[in-house]
Amino acid sequence: MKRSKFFANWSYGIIAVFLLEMVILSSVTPKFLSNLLPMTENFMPIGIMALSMTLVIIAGGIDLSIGSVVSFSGVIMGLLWQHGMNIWVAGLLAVLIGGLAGFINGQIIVRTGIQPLIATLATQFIWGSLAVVLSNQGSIYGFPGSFLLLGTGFLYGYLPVQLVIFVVLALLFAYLLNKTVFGRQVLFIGNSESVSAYSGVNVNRVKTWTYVLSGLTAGLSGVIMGSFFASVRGDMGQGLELTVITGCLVGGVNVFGGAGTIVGAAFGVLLLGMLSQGLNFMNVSSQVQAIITGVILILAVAIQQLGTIFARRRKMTGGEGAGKLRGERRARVE
Amino acid sequence: MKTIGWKRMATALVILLLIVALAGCGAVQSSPSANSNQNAAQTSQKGKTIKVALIPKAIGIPYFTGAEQGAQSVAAALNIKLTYNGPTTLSASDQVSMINSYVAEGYNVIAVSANDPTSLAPALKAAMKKGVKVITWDSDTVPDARQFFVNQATVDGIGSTLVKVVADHFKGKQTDVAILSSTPSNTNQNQWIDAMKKTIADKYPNLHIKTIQYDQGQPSTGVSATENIVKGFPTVKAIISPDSVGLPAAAEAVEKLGLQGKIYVTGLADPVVMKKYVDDGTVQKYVLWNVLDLGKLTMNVARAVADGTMPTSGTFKVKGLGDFQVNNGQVLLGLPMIFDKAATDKYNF
Amino acid sequence: MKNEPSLFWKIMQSRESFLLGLILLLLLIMLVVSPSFLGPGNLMNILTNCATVAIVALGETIVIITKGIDLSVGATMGMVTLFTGSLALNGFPLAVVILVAFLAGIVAGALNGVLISYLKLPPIIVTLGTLSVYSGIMYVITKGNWVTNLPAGLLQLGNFRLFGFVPAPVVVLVVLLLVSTLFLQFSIPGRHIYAVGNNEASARLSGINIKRVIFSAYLIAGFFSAVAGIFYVAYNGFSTPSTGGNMELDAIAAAVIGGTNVFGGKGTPLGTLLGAILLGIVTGALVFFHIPAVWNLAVEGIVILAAVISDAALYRMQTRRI
Repeated sequence: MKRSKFFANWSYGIIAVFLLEMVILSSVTPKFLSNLLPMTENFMPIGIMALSMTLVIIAGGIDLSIGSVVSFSGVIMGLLWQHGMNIWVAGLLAVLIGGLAGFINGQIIVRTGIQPLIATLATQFIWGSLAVVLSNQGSIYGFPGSFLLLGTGFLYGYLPVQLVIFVVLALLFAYLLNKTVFGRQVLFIGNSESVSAYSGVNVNRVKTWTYVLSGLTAGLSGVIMGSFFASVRGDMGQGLELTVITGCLVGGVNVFGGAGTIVGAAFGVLLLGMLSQGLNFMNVSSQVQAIITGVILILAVAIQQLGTIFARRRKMTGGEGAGKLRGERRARVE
Repeated sequence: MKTIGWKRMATALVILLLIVALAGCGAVQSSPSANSNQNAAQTSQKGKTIKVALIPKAIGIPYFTGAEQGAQSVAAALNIKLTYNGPTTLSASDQVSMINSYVAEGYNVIAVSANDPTSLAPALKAAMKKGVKVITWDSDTVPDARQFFVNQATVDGIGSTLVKVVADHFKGKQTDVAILSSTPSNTNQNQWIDAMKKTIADKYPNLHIKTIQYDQGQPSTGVSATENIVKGFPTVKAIISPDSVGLPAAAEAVEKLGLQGKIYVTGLADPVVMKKYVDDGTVQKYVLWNVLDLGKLTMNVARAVADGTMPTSGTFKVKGLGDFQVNNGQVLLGLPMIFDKAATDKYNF
Repeated sequence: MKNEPSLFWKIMQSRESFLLGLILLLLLIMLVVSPSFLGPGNLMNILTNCATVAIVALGETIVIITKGIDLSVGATMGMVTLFTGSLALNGFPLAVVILVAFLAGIVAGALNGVLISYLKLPPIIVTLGTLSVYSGIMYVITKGNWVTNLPAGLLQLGNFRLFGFVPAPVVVLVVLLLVSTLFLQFSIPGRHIYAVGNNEASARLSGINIKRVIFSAYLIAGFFSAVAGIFYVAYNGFSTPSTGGNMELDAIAAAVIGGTNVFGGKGTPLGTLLGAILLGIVTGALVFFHIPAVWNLAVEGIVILAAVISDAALYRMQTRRI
């Protein structure tokens, strides 16, 4: 229990760091604060995908294919619309196609038992290649104006639609992870797959569902990005998976599975996204931004690691529960 | 703990999304209503220092570094505070994110070489609405997303010049040609390839494009792709690479295979990269334009647009650089140049 | 206990001979399609073209055997190409250039190793972070310029041919293949690498210094990336700040196709080399069969899937027989 408590504390820590970042950035660059909400539009799809990636990672998996699924479903939407379909219907179908791509990932992983890293690396190549081929190596554009509001609109004049979608989905995913049978099963599997299997959890079905959710949010991100950029391209999602994973891990999701919170992941993405916007404001070049992001990622896990060690040491000296911890450690080695 | 099943969760999710969509529809606007933060750049900036963001397709490419050098060399004299930054990969979405930041930060002019003609349009239109002047250079967007385009050479001009270099060499002989491009989704490269195909169909029926391969921006991939072309298409006698990684890689591969003089290599690349291959005779002629001048001209246009003195059609005179034709918002730098050994030694970008 | 290694060997051998058979079959098909294919230099060309990826993949294999992963190998290699090129252009003698390049790779690998083994941070996160850092450094070293027009000394290093027909990258590849095979199969530290990957807990109980073993795996991977980087720039003649981008994926793919198991404890350098060659031949074959190059990545993805799924199936069959 101690470990999960630490990770819960981590999400408060992330929120604090995020607020600190806001204070620093807005004092360094005066115009930062007044543009706070519109700026979120630049990275909301990453946040949306981080929500489902959190579930995937907690259940002990990883999904490298989401960037390609974004491109693929975006292009599918564009093609369907080009052939006369209503753009909203096309968008809905694109989201479902994303879900199907996730389902295929999930099935490959649970049926053959190959590592999620490798399976989704392979499907990343396949979906990405298909997206470029289907888009005829160009972009599809000219979507109706009402559709463009999905990515660029503002609710009541000041709330970006993308942000609203993200917040609603974040609440849903938090509820899903914390209050539903499915969510508890995801955590259970991440902590110990064999124990959860013996206690009657349908491990394969739950795992597949995490990948389906991952695919669905990637599909949705493809649609939102298509609206935001007013066009879709075969390479529009390229490389997004690493940004999404980085956001989750900075947000305290344990890469070995079993622990992590939606709040943490959401603020992990906000932290990195706002940092990148702020560094743009301060004229920091992209290469230096890459270095800063890398260092933050390593620091974040290093601090978490030290925190866990301290927590463990305190437990040890306290005597109580030391045996339990050793058991927990053995479970991790398994 | 009260729990509910995942099936009901999924339906709840869909219903909630629909509710949000319906509720939002009436109230959604295309731009934030409270945008009083802008420095109302509608008025002329004449005589004042302006902030200009020069955004290349990607940093770390000599071509764009050359343009930056040109731009830097005139920025101070034009009273411009210049920021040069771009994504590290050819990514349209990274450019959009940068543009949004620069607009919010109060830049007067955004000058961008677009990675995609349509993806940048919403961000650039929003910028113009806020009074920021938008020009494109090197690679254009759709015309209504910018005020001026500093055009180094038209797509047709580049395509036909590349084909002409090859056609002139083979003088009407039946020749199989291969193309080595960067990535399958690179917009500019694909446009140039289309222009090449068109020129060949119109003027040079003796040239036949046999295959298009990609270097993915990696020198070693370019070298092995060229070797694969030579092996897989033994009849190919000319390789055109409209990509600054692909051309030196193709030249390197042809040199390694000892096929100098047997396979004609040309394309688009920077003199500084091509020097070695021009010096040893692997490449005789290739195509580019004066990148330094492109940077200088872009800065002059940025200044004139901010001052409100830029003509949408007619002649744009720049002291020390020359007169340039402006056509419907397009400022033309000139025709693409064919570089030979002498020109290669002359330029340093 | 006595029987296990021999069974282990059987599986490994079948994996490698399976790959070898597949490669020969592909070569045969291409020979039929285009009789000129098996010309004297062509096989050597295929080998040369996949040499740098294969060298990087050898280092990656050692890391994966310890149950780790290194996403920074491509960036390390790219960083070394720029170090090597810049130093050579500034007139440093070749020996100094190579020494500094080795040092850069070793430092990069050691940093990964310290963070992963001594601070116990997850490998995937550490190397995802250092991937960003190293590739950022690449732009900083050159201020965005390329290294090109390299001095003759460095180019000769990349283009010399042993006995007049074996290109330098292939010579280096073969040497490293032999060294890493001998190291992994017959040296004590090498066996420790398998032991740690197979079962960390029992390796610890049998007195193996786990931290040192894991640290050395990342150090070796950094060193191999450095060697690949030196020969990359010397052979290809130029390098850019984005060189090595996504190469870690190709390296992991080569290792996995070659039978290296991401769960640790399983894999051989020879298998990895065959995996790299298979990927190289498939890419070449697509050109031969005149399949548009936009499909290249999709085919690579299918090859990876086919390889790991067949591996999993094979493993299940083997274990069922016992």
